[in-house]
Amino acid sequence: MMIKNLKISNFRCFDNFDIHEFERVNLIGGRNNSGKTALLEALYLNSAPSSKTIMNLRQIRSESLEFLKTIPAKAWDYLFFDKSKLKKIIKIVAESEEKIKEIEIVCDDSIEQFEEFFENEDEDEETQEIEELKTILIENENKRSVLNIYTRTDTNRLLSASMIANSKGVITKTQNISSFNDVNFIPSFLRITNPALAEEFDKADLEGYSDDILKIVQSIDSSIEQIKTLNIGKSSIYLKKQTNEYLPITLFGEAVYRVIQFALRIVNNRNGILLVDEIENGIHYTSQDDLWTILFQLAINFNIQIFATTHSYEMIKSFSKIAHKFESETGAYFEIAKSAKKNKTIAIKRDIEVLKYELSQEMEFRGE
Amino acid sequence: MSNLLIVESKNDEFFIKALVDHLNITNIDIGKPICSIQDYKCLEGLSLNNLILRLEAFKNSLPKNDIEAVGIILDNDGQKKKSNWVNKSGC
Repeated sequence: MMIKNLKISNFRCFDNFDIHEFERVNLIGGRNNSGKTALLEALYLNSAPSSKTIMNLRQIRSESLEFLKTIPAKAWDYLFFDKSKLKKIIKIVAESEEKIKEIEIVCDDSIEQFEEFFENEDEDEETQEIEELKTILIENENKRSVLNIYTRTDTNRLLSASMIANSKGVITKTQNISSFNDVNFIPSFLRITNPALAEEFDKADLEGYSDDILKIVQSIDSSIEQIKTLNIGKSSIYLKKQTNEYLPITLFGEAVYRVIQFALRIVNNRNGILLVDEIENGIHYTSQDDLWTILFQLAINFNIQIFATTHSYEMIKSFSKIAHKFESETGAYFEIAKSAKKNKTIAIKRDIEVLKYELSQEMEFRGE
Repeated sequence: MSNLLIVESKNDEFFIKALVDHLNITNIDIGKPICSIQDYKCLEGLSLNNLILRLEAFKNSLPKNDIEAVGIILDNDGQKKKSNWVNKSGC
């Protein structure tokens, strides 16, 4: 399922925001705080509307759990453009050729959805979590806030997840996972752990893709000859250079780590969506063409849709150069900017031909 | 709010800018020329394709700028068809 259009309302920096005609590989540029990361987050939430996604986003943004515990009534305010209303609603609507999927995130102090959970639980097997939940429900309303995530496809509107923020933390329930798409979010600075990356490599190895992963790493560093996982203390990926012994991936640069991560997330999630924030991080400009070539090829081969953000002029230039080698509608560049007349955040799409022209004329296309 | 004038080449840009300054007109900006010097080096000069790309690029910049009116100055070069290019460009 390829997302073509996205509509976001009342989320992060977006009051009402529309973006149209996504392609398979999409690069997004704009000024600092223009909404590039928030756009990836909206795509992430729409694809996987769960409490885990909300908590992942908190972690990615380094949002403090202590703040949430101290002022639970305002725990979810950071998600909303307009925080003033008692009942706050976010809508994220993704259109593909096959369907329209709408996510509605509602924040208020109602606990009706959680009361339904009690009815569904077997009384004899009442868990500690349910006990804790009951205590929270009878607490003062000012000491909690509830976030309900609904998914609508066609005519069905289903509750996907519920979360209660309270003075002890967050209690979560994810109910309906049938509407989830395979989606992976690679943030700009937060690395996944070595064991998690090693596990991803083992999955790819099991499917027979280890040689492909090696070739991809070699495009960044041609002196790397072997790749494998070793379980010494903790499981990790090890790489062997010419005439050297195997060394853990942590001893190699950021580019190697990130490129392996991109490749593994793609080969292990066929037909999914890959979201990459600040794709230029750690990638030397001489490796950028190779990186884009790999990403375009993998995206086509594994039927993946890629959304990446960047600040880098060189990265956009490299994207334009490589995208030209593929069919015209494989890639597109989107500029996030402010409209002069309405002071509203807007998205401006450039197909590859126009992007190449604007690059050659040294025009402004990064939110200036 | 301002008005924008798009010209064909860097030379035209210098000339029109000097003219605008001489006439003391304050509300006209001269945009980037349609052709770069490389276009002339390879003897292609202004083509319909270049014009389409320049107008597409202009459309992309339009929401970010408060522009009231746009003018395009093209050299006729004795080619009648050039005057129809703006209509033909479909922008």
